[in-house]
Amino acid sequence: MKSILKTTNLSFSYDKVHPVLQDINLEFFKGKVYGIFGKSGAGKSTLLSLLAGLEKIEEGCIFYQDSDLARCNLDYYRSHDIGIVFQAYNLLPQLTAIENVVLSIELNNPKEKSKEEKAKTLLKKVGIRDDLMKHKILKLSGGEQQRVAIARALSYDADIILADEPTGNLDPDTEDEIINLFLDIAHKEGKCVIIISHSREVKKHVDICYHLVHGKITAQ
Amino acid sequence: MIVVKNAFRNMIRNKARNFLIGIIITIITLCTCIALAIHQAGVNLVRTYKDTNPLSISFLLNMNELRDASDDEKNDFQSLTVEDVENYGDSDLVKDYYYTLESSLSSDTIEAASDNVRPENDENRPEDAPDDKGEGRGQGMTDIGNFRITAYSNFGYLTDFVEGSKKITDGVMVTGDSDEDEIVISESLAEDNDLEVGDEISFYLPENEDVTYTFTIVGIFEVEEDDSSSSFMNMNVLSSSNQMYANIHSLEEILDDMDEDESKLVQNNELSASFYLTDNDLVDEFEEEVRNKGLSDYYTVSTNEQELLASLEAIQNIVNFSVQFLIVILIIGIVVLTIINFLNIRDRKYEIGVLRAIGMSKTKVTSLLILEIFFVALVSLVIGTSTGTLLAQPVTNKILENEITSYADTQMNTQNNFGGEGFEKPSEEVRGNSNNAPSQGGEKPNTAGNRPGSRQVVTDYVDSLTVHICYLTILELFGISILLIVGSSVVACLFVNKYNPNAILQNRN
Repeated sequence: MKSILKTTNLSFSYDKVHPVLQDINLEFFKGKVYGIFGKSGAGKSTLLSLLAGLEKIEEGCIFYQDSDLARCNLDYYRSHDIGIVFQAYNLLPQLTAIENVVLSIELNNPKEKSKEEKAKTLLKKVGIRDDLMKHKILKLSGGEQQRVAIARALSYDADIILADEPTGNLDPDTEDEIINLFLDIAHKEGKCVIIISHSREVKKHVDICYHLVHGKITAQ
Repeated sequence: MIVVKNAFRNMIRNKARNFLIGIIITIITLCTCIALAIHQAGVNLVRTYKDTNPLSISFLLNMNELRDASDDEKNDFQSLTVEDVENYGDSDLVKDYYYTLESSLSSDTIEAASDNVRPENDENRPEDAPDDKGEGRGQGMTDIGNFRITAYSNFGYLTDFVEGSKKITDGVMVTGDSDEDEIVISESLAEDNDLEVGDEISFYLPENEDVTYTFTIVGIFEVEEDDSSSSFMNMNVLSSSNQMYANIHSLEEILDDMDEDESKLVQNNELSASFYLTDNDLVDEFEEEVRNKGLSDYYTVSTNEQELLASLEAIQNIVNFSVQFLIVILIIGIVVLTIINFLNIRDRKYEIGVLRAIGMSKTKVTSLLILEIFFVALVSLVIGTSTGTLLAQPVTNKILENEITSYADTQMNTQNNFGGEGFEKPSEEVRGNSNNAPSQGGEKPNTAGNRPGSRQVVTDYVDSLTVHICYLTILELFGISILLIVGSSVVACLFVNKYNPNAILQNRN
């Protein structure tokens, strides 16, 4: 079985002096939920940024379906092949929940006819009530914003879902719901879900765990 | 399409911010529009003034040079004649011209007006001052006549009446092309001699009492202010009250009757001509032409250019002010818009980061922001230009009020000064094509003369100054504004785009 995403000898440093990531070799497959765990400052978010195409690769390679990300159009990669759920949600506050999702669909496929319908379906799927869909983002709770962010990541049927601390701001009940949602996405829809977290609850549910210590993968 | 659609949506979503930007752009556009309108109105007024007041070219005899000339040169000197004037006037360079003839006559049927003559017991009166009612000569002086008769080839050029220092109060002005022996006299003269329109008066040549002329009075004029009351030697002939107007035909007859040599001398002194060219820049060409046609070098070709330029100074100041105002407004506009755009886009750095993070390309993000400001600018420009065009009229009228009022008054009074009807108006070409005027908004009172042979008189006057900004100017204004707005947005977008999305989001977080 071919990996959907693969890193080989991936290293990174912000200041060229202190390495944040060192010699990372990982492989990710469809239908699995991956967890990357580690303490604060271990390099988790940097790894996610590199996998998401938000940072330039300095050393080593990342392959998406055998294509070197360094040579890919990263804008296209981010809007078609990978869905990102940010820790701070990064939703547009001047838009409503549904508009945030629609914007993402438009970027992926401007010719999509039933954008609003699709957005509503996704928002329902992640547990957003109908009456909340037309609320501005800032009027939603943290959990609701997280759900909208997940719906946005799912909006264009990407092969990979990258989630950075998706349950960090949530209560235990909501955390369970979100974890189950990710499990369903991976197991039922056959997507590759990569979760970066330090939550034990998440660790319990993911299929494969990676531990990052001082920029190095130490355990699997 | 997604960019255009979202830019439009964003314009509505960011109402408060875009409203503020819109107001600023509207104010800048409004001020620019008004400045442009004032500038255009001023330029038009200057152009119209120049069209309606073309350069007047005349020939001045340099008496000092002639006096110092040798006898041979004096004999060779050819003084200006009516034929010469007509010959010079018959040129492609000349739009219009006129000449005046003047002569002094004596009369034993009427007495010279005495309004400016000192009382007999005036202690300051010079002993050799002429007799009040006597001939126009002092002791030991030759008789030069008491009455001055002037004829204009075109009475429309008679500035005393145009400017209003003289005004027909009864009857009408004589016409230049009439061959009747008609005359117009002053009110003082008429009162002193109990004369009225229709009466006949006789004159004779000062040097030959046997040669007489009889004129019918067709008009009486009042002199607003007789500035000749202190005239040289208190001579009646120099008084405005003893000034009369006849037609060219009559004056030519009088001058022909004079002794030939003397006639030449008289013509030399009493013939003057003014020429108006098709283009004010053709003065040198015209001078060359008249020299080739035989104008003596003792004549200097002079123009009233300095006088015209002095009259235009106030209007020119307004034009210059509008240009300076426009430059200041544009500089302020550029600075304010650049700062606002820069702050606006910097404030939206997070939005840019999110859009970039979810895969929107730099080009699309930049286009989205620029299009949004473009839509705001477009709406503001339309509002600003429309309001500016509407306000330009009252603002310009207010600023140029004095000039317009003065211009209109002059035009209105001229008609009355000539007795309301029947005067000859300088050709329309010389007075300027009314279509070129800023606006001849006023009525055109039809005051066609009812005298046989008189020309129809139509007086144009300006009672408002129509200001309109031409489409080309509006397009230029739009082009410049859009360029400025887009330019300042691009700079700001480039500044933001130099960060990668991750850096923007991490900084914000």
